[in-house]
Amino acid sequence: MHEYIIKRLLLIVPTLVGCSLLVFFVMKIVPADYVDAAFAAELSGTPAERQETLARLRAEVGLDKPAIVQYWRWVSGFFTGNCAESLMLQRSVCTILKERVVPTAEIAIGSIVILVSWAVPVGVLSAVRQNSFADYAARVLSISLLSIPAFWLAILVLLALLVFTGTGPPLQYVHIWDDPLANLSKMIWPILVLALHEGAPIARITRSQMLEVIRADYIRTAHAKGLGERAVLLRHALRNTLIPVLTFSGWRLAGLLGGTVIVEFVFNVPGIGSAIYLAIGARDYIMLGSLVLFITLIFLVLNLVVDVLYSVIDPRIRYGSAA
Amino acid sequence: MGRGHQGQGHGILWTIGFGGALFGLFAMVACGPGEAPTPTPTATSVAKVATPSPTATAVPTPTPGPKRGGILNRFNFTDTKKGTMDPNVETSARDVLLVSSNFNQLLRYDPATSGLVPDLAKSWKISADGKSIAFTLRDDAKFTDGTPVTPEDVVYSLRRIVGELGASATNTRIGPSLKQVWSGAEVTGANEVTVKTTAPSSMFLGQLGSAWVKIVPKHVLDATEKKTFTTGATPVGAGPFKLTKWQRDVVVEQERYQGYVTSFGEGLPYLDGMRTYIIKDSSAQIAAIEGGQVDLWPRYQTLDASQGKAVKSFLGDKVIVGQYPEAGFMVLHLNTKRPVFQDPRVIKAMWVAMDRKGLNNVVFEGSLIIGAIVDPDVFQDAALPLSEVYSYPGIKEPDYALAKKLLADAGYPDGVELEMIIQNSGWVQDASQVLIAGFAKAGIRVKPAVVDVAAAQARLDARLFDLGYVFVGGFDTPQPLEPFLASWMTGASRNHSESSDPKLDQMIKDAAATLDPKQRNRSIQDIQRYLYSNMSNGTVPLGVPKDILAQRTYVKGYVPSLTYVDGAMFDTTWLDR
Repeated sequence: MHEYIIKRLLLIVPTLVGCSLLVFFVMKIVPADYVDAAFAAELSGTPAERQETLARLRAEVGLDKPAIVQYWRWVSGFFTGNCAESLMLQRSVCTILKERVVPTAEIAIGSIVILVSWAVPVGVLSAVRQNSFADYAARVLSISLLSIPAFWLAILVLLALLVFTGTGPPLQYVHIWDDPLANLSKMIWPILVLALHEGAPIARITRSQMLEVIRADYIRTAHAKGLGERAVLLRHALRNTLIPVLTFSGWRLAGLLGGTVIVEFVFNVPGIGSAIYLAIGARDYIMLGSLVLFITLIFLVLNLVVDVLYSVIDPRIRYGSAA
Repeated sequence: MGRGHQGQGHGILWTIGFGGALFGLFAMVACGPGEAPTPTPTATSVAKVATPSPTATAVPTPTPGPKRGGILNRFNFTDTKKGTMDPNVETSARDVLLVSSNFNQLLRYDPATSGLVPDLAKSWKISADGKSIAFTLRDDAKFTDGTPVTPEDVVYSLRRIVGELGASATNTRIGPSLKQVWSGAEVTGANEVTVKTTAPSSMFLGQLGSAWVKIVPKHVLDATEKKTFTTGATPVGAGPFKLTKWQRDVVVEQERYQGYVTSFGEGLPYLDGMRTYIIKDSSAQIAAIEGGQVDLWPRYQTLDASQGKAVKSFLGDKVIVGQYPEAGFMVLHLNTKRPVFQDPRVIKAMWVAMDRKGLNNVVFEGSLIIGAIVDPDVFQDAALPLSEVYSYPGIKEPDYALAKKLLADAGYPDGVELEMIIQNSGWVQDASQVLIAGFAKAGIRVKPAVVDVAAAQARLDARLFDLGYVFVGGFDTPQPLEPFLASWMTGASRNHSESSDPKLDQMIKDAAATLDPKQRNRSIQDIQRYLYSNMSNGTVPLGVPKDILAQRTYVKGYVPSLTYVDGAMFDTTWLDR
């Protein structure tokens, strides 16, 4: 197992390098650069004056250098600890990441906690009460939430707040340790939207897995042995049901930690998702590349964690040379 | 385990009932309260451009009973581009809305009248030959660090703008315009600064009054390498407000600057402070104004008609939603370097085949002044009467038959195929679709190339287009000659069609050099007649838009300026609550 974990950790490095090259290459081949995006529309003067100004602005941020130099300046910062500066925010991307990861992590973790709290029980109930009102209700709910795009759900929540309370969520993000009430009054809404939206597929998966598991021979045996329904469910069925749920949840948590663009925008949360969207529009390859690398790292680490947890949940699963 | 198939029939009925209830809940929330009949927009009176008075010293009478106090909450679409509050560095109109109120100006435009009024200058005198302007300054203005505002600061600020103190400090928006006739500025008295030009210019005084021309402290900026405020630094200015908190991309907070003085009025500003949130998403912006978290819509970007109706419907009497004139113009650029546009008949065909009426009906819901270049409501003496504008073919309604004939005469009996850049932002895409549909009726088959804003601008600059995107240009100052200088002069910054007409250039230069306003206005009318009667220019006017803006009824003393930026001082704004 240790060997396996070390191998996976070592694979992270080449994966990140490949990812950095890919995102840098893509940003270089799309039309327009940061200076075009930020300044070109606002410049006055003759064409020659405009070109001179654009050239100066490019030189100021290093866009006049060869691509390989730009690439190295960006990535080398991660090794020296002196992270490159975002073109559009003029600050170290590491600082920006530290600031923005907090609200995004809050949304991600909050959503996962809430969605697991409702989606798994609903999925289980739906399965054990198959074809009852509860099952139908749960299925209608989960399919509805699955079908509704997250951005529309977000706007609906915003509208509901306006209609029923006369005001929207607070506009300013405040850290939870500075003012918990202000923080929660703002963040509960994006958390709720994502918990509902992301919980729907988990409820569905839980239901279908549970249906499969409760028909297994060992469950029939457990009943035959005289175990109560609760004991059979919690001690036997649920554990096996949770394996694909765990995979999906881990993957979704990684996605949520990468930021949900639209929801962050709609609720004005200064997180990673909104930063990615802005960086694309601004052609800020430094910020975008750094955020993509961060998300990639999250995905790789979380996938590893999920795989390790598999072996905890299911003792039959073993990794490494002993497997 | 489980109930199996028991009660399945009842289960389905319950499902339908539950699903219906769920749908109903969504529908109820989505539809909101019943839509009240939309009242007629109650715009404030249209600001008519006053003739600039070189010695204006009048102090405007404040609206009866301005109350002091309160925080004005507003929002901006973006934070400043380079992370400074330097008025020369942050030159987009959106940036100015954040930066402006930290600084004062020599003179400025009064949003209520669009006339030039004194600010730091008490008065000014233009020489007989029109080549120098002497400004008499107040002697009681101080920067927020306590140092007096001196004539040296004024000279320094102006020199910085036109680029005499280094490229990084140059104001790339208004600097090139000022530089065209700039000769120099010097201190000519204890409280006097004289600015000299190489030639008389009717535009120059107005450009000095633009919101981009701010007075900055020499002693602070001279100490920096690039002569600019550094990233994140609190600006030192003498404007009505001073910065107290700046959380990048989140919020900007300002408080009243107690030491603010202006020749524009006494005892200003009325507000205790302002709070400007950075809100990027349009749904969040609408929610903010509907939810009462912000008090007014920013001048920079219009609400669309449906948004305006929604805000009014939601807030009723608590909000004023109105159409306001904008010192701007809407054009379509034809790339005159393309072979197809070498024949002026093809260009004329494009002029007459543009479905401006459809654009107005479908996209602008009646708020576009079709075909106009200069708003006749605002610049009555300089604009052509609409009856005259509509006497030209294809302006009021497209003339597809004429367009087809022109194309056939030019050797394109089967029409032409063109590509059009389309910015992927809401109304621009809609407007483009209307135009494309209209062109098709004239045999002009247009392929859309939808790209994002940055790519669209890059293609425009690189001339990688047949037809540019529907372009709205805002004036830098509310002067009716602006669009012609910016878009129709050879080599002008917004002449993306690269049209070049020496006769037109001379007409525009002559108008700019004409100091007599009546004569100048006649010249501006002649320029418009020339454009409409020839229809050979690749910059094709679509019309003059009006903007839909909203403000809460308790916001008083605020008038949306003609330009995007002239009303960003907020020193006469007060809250009636």
